[in-house]
Amino acid sequence: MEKVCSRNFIKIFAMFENRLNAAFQGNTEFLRGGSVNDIRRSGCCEYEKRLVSKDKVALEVDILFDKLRDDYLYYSYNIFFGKNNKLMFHYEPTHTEHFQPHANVYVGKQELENDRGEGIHIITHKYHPFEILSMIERYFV
Amino acid sequence: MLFEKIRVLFGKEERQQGVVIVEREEFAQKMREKFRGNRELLKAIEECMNRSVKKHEHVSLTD
Repeated sequence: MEKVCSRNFIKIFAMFENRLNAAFQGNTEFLRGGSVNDIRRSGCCEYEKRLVSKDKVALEVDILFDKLRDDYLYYSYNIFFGKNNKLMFHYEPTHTEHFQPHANVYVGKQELENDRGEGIHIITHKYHPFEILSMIERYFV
Repeated sequence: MLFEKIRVLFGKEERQQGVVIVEREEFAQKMREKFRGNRELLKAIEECMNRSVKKHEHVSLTD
């Protein structure tokens, strides 16, 4: 899988967008965003998407990419499903707790916690958008 | 890598379908609202937005 970088960011998220829309074709209640926003005379790009299916699966995708440093400033993929359940894939290198890519799991609006009441961040690799897409296609369409 | 940096700095990005060009101030305002209170992230976005423009064109996201 081609690593996301400034050279292919637009192409990869255009493919992400097309595949996501195709997966939910005929089953979409609400849709917003979906274009790559290229900020004029700036070194960053943004991709943002909101989708709610008729089955009430909701997706929120927020991506900020630093083109010069070839890395994310921020990414967040939220998948809401069932009765107040949420899967969240997050990476925010400037944040003291979120600088490692991780996943959070919420069941019935409650984040999975350890015995000390700390939310459990499941440390992951830096997820490729197509990996998230494959998971959405497998479990939530 | 050097060529890539020069291309980014001078904005020679190929315009492709599905890409929307957003004005700097419009984007800055959106980021201020979206990430209000997250100073570190706003600083990083600000640095990214300002590094290739002259000082009088700089935007501030954290004032």
